[in-house]
Amino acid sequence: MNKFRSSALLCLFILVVTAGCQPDADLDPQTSITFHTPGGWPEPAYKFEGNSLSQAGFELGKKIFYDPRLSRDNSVSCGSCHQQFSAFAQLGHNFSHGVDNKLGNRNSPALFNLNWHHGFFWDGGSNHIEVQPINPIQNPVEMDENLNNVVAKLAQDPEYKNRFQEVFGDETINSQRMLKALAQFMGMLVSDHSRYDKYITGAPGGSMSDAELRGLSVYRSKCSGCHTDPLFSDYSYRNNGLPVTALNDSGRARITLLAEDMHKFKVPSLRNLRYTAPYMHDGRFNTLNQVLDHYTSGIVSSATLDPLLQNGITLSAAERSDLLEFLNTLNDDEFISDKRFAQSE
Amino acid sequence: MMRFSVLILFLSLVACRKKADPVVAPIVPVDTSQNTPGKLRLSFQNKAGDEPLVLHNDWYLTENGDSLKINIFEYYVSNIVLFSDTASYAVPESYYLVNEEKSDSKTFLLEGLPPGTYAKLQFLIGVDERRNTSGAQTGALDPANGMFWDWNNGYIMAKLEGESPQSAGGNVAYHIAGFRGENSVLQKVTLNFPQPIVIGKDATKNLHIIADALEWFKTPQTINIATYPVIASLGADAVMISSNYADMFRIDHID
Repeated sequence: MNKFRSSALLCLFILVVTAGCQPDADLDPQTSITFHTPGGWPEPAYKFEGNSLSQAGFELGKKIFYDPRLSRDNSVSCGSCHQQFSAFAQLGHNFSHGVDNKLGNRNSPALFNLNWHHGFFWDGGSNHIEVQPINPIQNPVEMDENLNNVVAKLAQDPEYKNRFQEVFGDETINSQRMLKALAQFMGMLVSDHSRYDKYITGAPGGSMSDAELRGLSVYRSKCSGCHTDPLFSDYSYRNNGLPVTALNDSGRARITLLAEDMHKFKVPSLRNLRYTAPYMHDGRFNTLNQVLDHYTSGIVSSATLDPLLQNGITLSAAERSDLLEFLNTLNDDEFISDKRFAQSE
Repeated sequence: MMRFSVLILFLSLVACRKKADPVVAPIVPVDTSQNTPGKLRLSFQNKAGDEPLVLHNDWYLTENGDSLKINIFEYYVSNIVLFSDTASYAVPESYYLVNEEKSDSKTFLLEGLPPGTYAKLQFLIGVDERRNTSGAQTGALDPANGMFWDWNNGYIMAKLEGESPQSAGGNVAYHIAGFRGENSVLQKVTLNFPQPIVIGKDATKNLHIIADALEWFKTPQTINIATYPVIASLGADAVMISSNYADMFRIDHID
């Protein structure tokens, strides 16, 4: 009994002492953390099968995510183009800069609720969250590094050896372990604390104004066919009628080689829009008003234009205003300021 | 009539079930007193026609009469199944990457095989759909081996790179990938043993298999390198090459 009380006291003491230090350091590395599917959400596609989720694995994934050694010249990390304050997109960039200041040709997508995605990238070219990072690592206009070099660089760092030992039971560093750790970090990036979420679950702080509630109705009747709640995307691939630019990005068709997939891109979520401008696969729109202008008056007809957009979307001035108010309730301040996801000091 | 229909239904159910059974039925042991698992060594020798394949140096003539020097020659051998006259055994977790550049990749030992007398071998050139879609793999399937497409996920089942004066750019590169539907390049190879192989009783046998790189360029389709210098995306061209190389393997001898 005494023993118990003193251990409890010791724990409390440790908690108190460490609480003021780094936010992550007070967690026992061996603690298992659990992935929580928010109430009313569908089952995720990825449930960490064969990838035993742990605090240490998550922390290792975070360290790798923020490590510029993943790039050829050690200058670019995942976090360079996926910034937490931008809901892990890159604010203000239509295209992001890779090594040697090279530009890509698609907008850096926001990273949250990734476990519900069935395909990754705007064209769904990656079929699994664990292998998705290989592309940005090896892409000449992103990190321009190869997996063998990355593994070799990490293996030279005694800190990594310790971390891999902690997570996987021995010091071996290979691409599989690195990618599984990254998937632990990325998979835990769940954004479900917007004001809308609180409204739906009846949590404190979940009040919505009349305008926002009217906007919710507009959303339900005019947007939810593709941006299906609660994820605010059905993650399907659709042609939303954007004028084709000189780049002539074929989108999903590049992956499937099917004419019916020409100029289709993955439907992005409507969550966290405040942080993730510019919009669309090529970041062509800087404001949500421009986006709505496109849907009301800018849609270009083509063989693969989505059936739901054949006649565009009709929005009165009042509906547009209400809709923008509603979209504002989908921003998750807690997510973008969650210390668990921030780069460790 | 009713009774007849029920009988048909029952029979078809039974037939279906039998078909769905995985091919892991144990082989009848050759020696029940010494029922220990056996081994079989597979040794691949890559050739170009009748010549040994020498990378980076030797020139070969394809069926079309094109000159070809080969610099990279790699392929996956997976899902190995051994057959006796009456049963079969699927070797679990059998994924191997044969790379001409690495001599130790060209020979490997199959272990834990049920003792028995085997008549033939079957394998897949490439990696099955499931392993193309189930996340980060390691060993032969480590994406760091350079046989994995990061932009359109999936394994390169077989890769041949080289040079040819018939190629406008000078280079030849065939990265053959695709695991689904009409784009699938997965080819199943069956090799009948010239004589039965007894596993589990005698010393470990070594099955010597020849792979002829020039088969990529002929039968059924003669390849003109000027027309096809590079094939590095999904589709009919990749499937065409895979149909060509499907018959590149033959058993040389057993010792």
